[in-house]
Amino acid sequence: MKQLRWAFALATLLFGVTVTLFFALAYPHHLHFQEQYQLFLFEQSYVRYVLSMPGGLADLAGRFITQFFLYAWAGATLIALLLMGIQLLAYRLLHTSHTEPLTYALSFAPALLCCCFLCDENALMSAPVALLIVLGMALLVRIVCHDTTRQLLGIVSIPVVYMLAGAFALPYALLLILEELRQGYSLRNLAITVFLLIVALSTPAAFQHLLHSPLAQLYAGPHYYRIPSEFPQWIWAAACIMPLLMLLPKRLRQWAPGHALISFLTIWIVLMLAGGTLVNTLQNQKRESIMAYDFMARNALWNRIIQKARKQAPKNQVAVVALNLALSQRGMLIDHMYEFPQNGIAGLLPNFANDYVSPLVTSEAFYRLGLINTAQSFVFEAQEAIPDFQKSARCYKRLAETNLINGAYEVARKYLYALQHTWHYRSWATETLALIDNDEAVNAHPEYGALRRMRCTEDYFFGGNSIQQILIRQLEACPENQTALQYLQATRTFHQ
Amino acid sequence: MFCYYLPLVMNKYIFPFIAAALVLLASCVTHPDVPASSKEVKSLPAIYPDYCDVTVPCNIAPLNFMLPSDEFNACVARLTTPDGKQQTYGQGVKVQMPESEWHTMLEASTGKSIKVEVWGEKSGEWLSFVPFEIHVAEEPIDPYVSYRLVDPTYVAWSYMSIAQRNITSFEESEIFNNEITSNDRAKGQCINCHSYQNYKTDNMLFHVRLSNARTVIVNDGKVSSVNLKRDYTISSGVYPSWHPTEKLIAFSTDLTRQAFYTQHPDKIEVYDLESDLILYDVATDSVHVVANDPELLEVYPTWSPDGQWLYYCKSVPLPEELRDKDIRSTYEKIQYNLYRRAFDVPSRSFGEEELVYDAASKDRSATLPRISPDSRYMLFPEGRYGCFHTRHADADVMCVSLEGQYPLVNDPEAEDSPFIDLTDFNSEGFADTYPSWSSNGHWIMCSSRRGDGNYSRLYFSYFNNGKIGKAFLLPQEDPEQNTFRLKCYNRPEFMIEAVEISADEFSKVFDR
Repeated sequence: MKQLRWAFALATLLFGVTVTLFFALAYPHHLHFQEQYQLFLFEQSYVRYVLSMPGGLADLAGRFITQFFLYAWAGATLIALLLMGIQLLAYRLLHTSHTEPLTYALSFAPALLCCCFLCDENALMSAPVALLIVLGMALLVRIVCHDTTRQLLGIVSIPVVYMLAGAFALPYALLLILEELRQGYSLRNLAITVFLLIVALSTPAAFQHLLHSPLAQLYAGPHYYRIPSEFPQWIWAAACIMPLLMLLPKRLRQWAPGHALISFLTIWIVLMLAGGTLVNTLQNQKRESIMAYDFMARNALWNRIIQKARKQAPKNQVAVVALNLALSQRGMLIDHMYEFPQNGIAGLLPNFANDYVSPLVTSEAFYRLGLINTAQSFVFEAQEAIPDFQKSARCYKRLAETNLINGAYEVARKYLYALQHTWHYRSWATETLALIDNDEAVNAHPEYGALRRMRCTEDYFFGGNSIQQILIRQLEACPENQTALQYLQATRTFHQ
Repeated sequence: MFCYYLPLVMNKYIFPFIAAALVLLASCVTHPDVPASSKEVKSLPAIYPDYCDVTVPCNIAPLNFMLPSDEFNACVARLTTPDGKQQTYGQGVKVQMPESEWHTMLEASTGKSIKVEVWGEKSGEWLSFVPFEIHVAEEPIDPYVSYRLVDPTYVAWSYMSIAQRNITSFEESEIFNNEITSNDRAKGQCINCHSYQNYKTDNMLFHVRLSNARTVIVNDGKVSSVNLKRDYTISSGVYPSWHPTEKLIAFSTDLTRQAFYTQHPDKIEVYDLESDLILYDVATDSVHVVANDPELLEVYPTWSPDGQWLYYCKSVPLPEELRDKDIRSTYEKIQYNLYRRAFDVPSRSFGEEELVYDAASKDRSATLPRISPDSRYMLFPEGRYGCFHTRHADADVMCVSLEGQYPLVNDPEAEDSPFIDLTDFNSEGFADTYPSWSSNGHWIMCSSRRGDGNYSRLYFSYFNNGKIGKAFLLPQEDPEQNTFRLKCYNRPEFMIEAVEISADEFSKVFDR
C-alpha cells in the first residue's frame, strides 16, 4: 500500500516534469505567442471587467498565468502545476476507496486531454483553470453529507460555477447528477437530477439577455479559445471525460489484477504512451518554428534568426521576412539572402494581411526602415484582428514607441500608463515615460532618435507607390539608412 | 482607473448589489478639511478635465476632476453654492462628487454659479489656486447621447458597440454590438450611423456592414431590417438624416476609399470616389434619387427642423487638368460647399438646388451641416479640403446665422459677418467635428481629438442667442477614464429619451 502511494506520487511528479520539459524545450515559442496576445493589467477596473463575465475567475486566473509565459520555463512549470492539480482532483473525485490503481491511472486522462488542448496556439489558459475550479467545486459539494443541503447547494452552485468557470458548469452539473444517482435512484433524486439538468442548460441562455453575446459562445466558453466561432473539442473532452469515468462501476475502479503496483504502472505507462502519442500528433512544430522567428524578430535577436535559418531553411513567409530583416540588420542581406529561400517582395515587405500574426513581423521590418506610420498601422491592425478582442502587450509597446518617435506624446503616454500596470513591462514603461514631451531626449535615444531621423520628410500615401519608390524616398530622406539601402538593392535583384 | 473595460450592459444589470454597496459607500464619501495653511498660486488650477469657468446645464452629471498625479499628491476642492452652503471633496488627487450632492448643488445654483476653490499638495506643501466658477445655465441638456465606441483603426477592427450615455448621471449602456450577430468572423461586422428622428428613439436606425449586412430600422418602436441598395444607386444608404415629421430618411450613397500617410500625423485620408443622395420612404420601402450629378459628389444630407429644406454638401468641379487624374493626387483639391433644396412634403418633390455657403471660395471645405432647432443657425465642420474632417487636424466647427443672404460668405473682416466666433468651443490644431444641437438649441456637442490627437472625445458648449460658452468634456465618474479609455467616441447624437429596445430584440431581425 505504501509502495503504491509512493508510485502514485512519483507518477504525478513524473507527469509534471514531462509537461514542464515539453513546453519549455519543445514548445517554448507557443508560450511566447500566448503571452503577446493579451494585456494583463494589475488594475481594478480591468479585474472587475474580467470577473464580471461568465467564467470570469477562470479567465482572470488564466490570463494571470499567461503573463508569465514570456519566460518559457516559468510558463511550462505553471502549466505542469495546473495539470497536476487537475489530475489530483480528478483522482479525489473518482476514487471510492483508499487506493485504486486503475482509478489513479485513469485520473490522468483529463490532464492529458488538457495537454492536447494546449498544443493549439489558440487554446487559452482559462479553460484548464475552469476545469480545475469545476473539479474542486464538485469535490466541495460532495463533502456535504446532509442530502437536502447538498442538493440545494448543488442547484445554487451551478450558476455560480458558470460565473466562475464558464460553460464547464454543464459537465459540473453532470458530476453533481452522478453523485446524486450514486446516493440512490429514488424519485426525489431523479427529480433533483432533472432540476440540475434544467438549471445547467438554461443558465447560459439566461446570461444572454444580460450580455448580448452569441448564444453558441455562451455555451462553449465563453473564453476558452481565442477564436470564439470555433469549438475547442479537446478541452471539452477533458471536461466531459470526468462524468464518463464516474460511470465506471466501483468494482472496476478497484480492479487490480495481480500485483497492485505492477498493474498500476502498466496501465499508467500505457495511458502516458497513448497521451504522448496524441500530443506528438497534435503538436505543430511548423508553427513553433514560425513563432520562434516572430519571437526573435520581436526581440531583435538577429544572429539567432540567422543561425536558426542556417540549421533549417525557413519555408514560411513570416520566417522569410524575419530572416531578411535579420540579415539586413547585420549588413548581410545582399550577400547572403540567396543562401535561403526567397519570396520576392513578399519575403521582404509583404502586403498587409488581415490577421493577427503576419502583420507583426512585417511591422518590425517597416519599423527598422523608419516607416513609422506604416509600422504603427500594421501593429494596430494586428491587434484589431485578435479574434477574442483582447489587447496585446507587444502591440501596446510598439504603439507607444511609434507614437513617441512621431512626437504624438499624449497618445504614447496612454499606452505607457497602461503598460505601467503590467508585471513585465512596467519598468520599461516607467523609463520610457521620461521621454514624453522631451524632444531632446528622444532625439538622443539610440533607437528612437535614429528612427526619427530616418523618417521621410516629404509625405505621401503608402499604397500609391511601389515598394522600390518607397525605399528610394527613405534613402533620399536619410542616406545613412542602411536597412533601406539593402532592401532597395534586394528588390532590384528580383527584377534581374 | 481603466473604467473603459467595464462592459456596458453590466452597468445596468449584473451589479445591482454592487450598486447598493456603492450607495452605502457614497454615504461615506470623503469630505476632507481645507488645508490650514497654503501657499497662494496666482493661477487657475491645471485640473483635468478643464472645468474652469464653464457653463453647464442644470442637469449634468458631476464634473469630477483631478490634479496631475505626477505633480500632486492630494487635492481638496471646496464648492460654494449661491445660498452659501459649502462642501469639500478630495480623495488622492481626484475630486469625485456623489451624484445626489452634486444635483443638490446644481439646483441651488441654477441661473447662477458655483464657486470652486482648489488646493493641491505638492512635495509636502499645500498650494491654493485662483478660484473659478462653474456657471449653471437654466436650460437643461438632453439627458442622453449615443455614440459608437470604436478603436481609431485603419482597415481591420475588433469589438465595437453603439452605446448610450445618460449625461445626467454616469450610466452607460450598450444599444448594440458587432459580436452578437456577426456570423462570419473572418469577414467581421461593422455597425454605425445610428440616427434618430427628432431626438426620439421610437424611430431610429443604424447600419450593419459586411457580415449579416443590412440597415436596422425602428419604425414606431417596431424593429425591421432593410436593404437600401438598388440597381440604380452607387451603394446602400450611408449617412442618414430622418425627416423631422415624415417617415422619410435622406441618405447619401457613397463609394468611399481610404489611403494611409507615411508621415502625416492625420494618418488616414478618406475620400469618396462617387457619392449621391437618395430619399428612402420607410412606409413603402422605396428609394428615390435626390441628386446624382455624375461629375460631382453630394453627401451628408440633413433636414431643416420644419422639414421643408434638405441641406447637403456638394463638391465643386475640379480644374479641367485634374479631372482625369488619380484621386490620390487630387484629393487636396476636392472641396465641398453647402447647398439646400426645398422639399414639398405632400408631393415628395424637391426644388432647385440653392447654394447656401461657398466654402471653396475661401479655399475651405464644409461638411456635415446641422440646423438649430429654431432654424436660425447652422453648425458644420470645416477644413481645408475633403469630406472626412475627423481625420483633419485643421478642422473646426463653424456656426453661421441662416438669417442672412445666400450664399453666405465667411469674411472675418466684415462687421456684420453671420459667422459666430467659436474660439471657445474649438481646439487649436486638433480635429473638431460632427457637431450637433440639443433639442432646445442651447447646447452644442462635437467629437474632438483635442485630448491627444488620436482618441476622440465629446465636448459640449452652452449656446445662447449667438453667444457660446467654453467647451467642457463629457464628465466621467473617474476623471482618468477619459485618458485611459482607448476607444473613440464616434458620431455623437443627442436624444431626449433612452433607446429601450434591447440588443436581443435588435438581433432578432438578423440571420443566425
